[in-house]
Amino acid sequence: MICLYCLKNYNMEVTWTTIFKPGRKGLCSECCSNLEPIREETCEKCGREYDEQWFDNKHICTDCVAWENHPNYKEVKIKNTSIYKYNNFAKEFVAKWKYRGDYELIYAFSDEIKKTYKSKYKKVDYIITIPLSTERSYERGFNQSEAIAKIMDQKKTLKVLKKNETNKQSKKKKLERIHSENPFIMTGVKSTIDKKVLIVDDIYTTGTTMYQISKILYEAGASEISTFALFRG
Amino acid sequence: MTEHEILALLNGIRLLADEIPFDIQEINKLGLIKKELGLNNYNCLRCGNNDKNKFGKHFCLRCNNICYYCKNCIMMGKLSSCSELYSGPSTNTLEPTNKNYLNYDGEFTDEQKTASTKVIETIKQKSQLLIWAVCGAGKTEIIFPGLNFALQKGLNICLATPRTDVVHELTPRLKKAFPEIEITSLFGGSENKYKNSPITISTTHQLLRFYKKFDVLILDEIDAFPYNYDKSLQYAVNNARKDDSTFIMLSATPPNSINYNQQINKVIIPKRYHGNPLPLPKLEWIGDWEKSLLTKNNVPKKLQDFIEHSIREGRKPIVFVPNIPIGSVLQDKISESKFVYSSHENRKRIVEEFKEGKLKCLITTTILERGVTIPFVDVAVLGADDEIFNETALVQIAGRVGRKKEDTSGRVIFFHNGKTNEILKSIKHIKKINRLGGFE
Repeated sequence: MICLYCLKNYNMEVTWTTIFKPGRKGLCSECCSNLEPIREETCEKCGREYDEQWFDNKHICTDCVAWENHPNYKEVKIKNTSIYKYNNFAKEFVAKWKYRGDYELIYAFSDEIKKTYKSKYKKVDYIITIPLSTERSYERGFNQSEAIAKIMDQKKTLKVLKKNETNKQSKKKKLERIHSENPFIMTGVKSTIDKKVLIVDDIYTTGTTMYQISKILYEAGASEISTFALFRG
Repeated sequence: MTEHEILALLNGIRLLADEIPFDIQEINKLGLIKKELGLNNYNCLRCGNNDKNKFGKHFCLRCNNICYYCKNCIMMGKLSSCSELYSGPSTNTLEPTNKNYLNYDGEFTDEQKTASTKVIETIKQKSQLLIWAVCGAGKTEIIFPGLNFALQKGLNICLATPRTDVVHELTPRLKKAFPEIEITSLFGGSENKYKNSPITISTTHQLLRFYKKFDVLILDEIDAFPYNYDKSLQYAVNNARKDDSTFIMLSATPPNSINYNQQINKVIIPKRYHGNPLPLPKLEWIGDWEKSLLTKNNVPKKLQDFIEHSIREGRKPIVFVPNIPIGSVLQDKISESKFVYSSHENRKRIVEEFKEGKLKCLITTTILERGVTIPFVDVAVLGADDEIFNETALVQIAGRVGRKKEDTSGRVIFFHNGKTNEILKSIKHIKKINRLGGFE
């Protein structure tokens, strides 16, 4: 088999890792070993792994405490799940996937994404994907959030949002992002009234995107909102 | 944007529309620019990838269709079914002249003279030549008169090599030999934009963007990793050459595929420039040294003797090891030694320290098997029976010894736990070369 990431040939060995952590096929053991799964103990809101430097109390990280005090997002309650830490390898991986455009890299996580979806989000009515600006769509050739939603359940995927043309989030500083205006708007009918929705993205960094979209969906009458991001930065 | 700027950007270079900072509609109007689809079924036009497993597909938001893309060269910018490659004709930078560009007063041996005449003939005939020159034959100098001839004809010249180290080593030597000629060096991480110059020195990787650019392409170390093993680099070299061009290959250990190719002329230089034979390796059996080294930290007695003996005689011992764990243990056990390997940050500096005598002993993986010339070295291979040490590697390693006029001999010892075929082949190889060189 050829490793999805490094393209080297490798043999699928049956080891304790492959038995207890299935769904890693697609990456060779060396690439796999560079991934850091998030362990059990996490922030109750954003899913960040417990680490003293980010936590004043055991339950909620300092970022989420700050969000609770944000004047625009008081009513928004976040419940995020992430699978991996956004470490250096993840950064390179995402860069190759999203910016270089190697779409199929996401298949390395198919099984893990499906597993999480089945165990946590079976009851959602809709999976909400995050739109890209026209320019970004052309540049990348695909939408990373839709790529993940497709692995979960394409039939439940709903594209009801539109993004105004703005600058890239990743080019902005943290404070700029948190206080930037909401670039998303609802399009079409209010199909999310009284629905359980799951917002899907690739990375949760400051949480800005998740808060902005959650707010719109909240105002559009969604009854339950949860979020999924493959990596937690 | 002028026509001139576009032709300069695409001068013997092939780029994706995404890489061209001009209006593509305007470029399409220019007759001289060639436009091609980047993929043809499972064939990547840019890197030559035709392995089905190294293509991906997805619904593409550019063309609104299922689109394939090449994974092999994606780091150069994604090439999909809907991508087009643009290229322009290669123009020459020098006017033909009778002027002498070469500044070199070294003397050639008879063998070097014959070979360098062959080089000029090959350039005249636009044919292919293999120069099989033993380690330490003075390969680079042999091509100087040929380069001078090509420059006089106003031809585009490229010196390519699989190894970045060699680009760094060749550049100053060529600048010195051709002081008036502009030389551009390309290697991974070289930031400066490509400048159209009479001589380009490049890693084989960097050739992937060239398209029918060069009249004369000289490829050093054809048998070195990763060129010998990466088909896309061979593809890149072929694409970088004009249809009607000269291709000269240099090697001390040419692969059979080239050596026995009837289309390629061959010249062998079996003698070193100082006229002495290649040192013949000595074989020493040392039993199961690996276990005893890794579990008990025991350095094989015979290896220790070799190092001490060498140092006592005022010489410089280098120990080649098959892998990093072994090298690390040795470094800890042998006093005043340091270990270098490919990803070592200070690798260059450590080799310099060793050259200057600040270090008593150098331990290395196969990264130093080529391209290093250090006077007064003795060489040991620890675990010469490891599969990483094939015939080529062992011949190259033995070739590190006795390269300088002031030190033509030196010891080469292969420490092993059982003779492999590759060990025997390497000995046979060296004996054969020495026989050809008139030594018996």
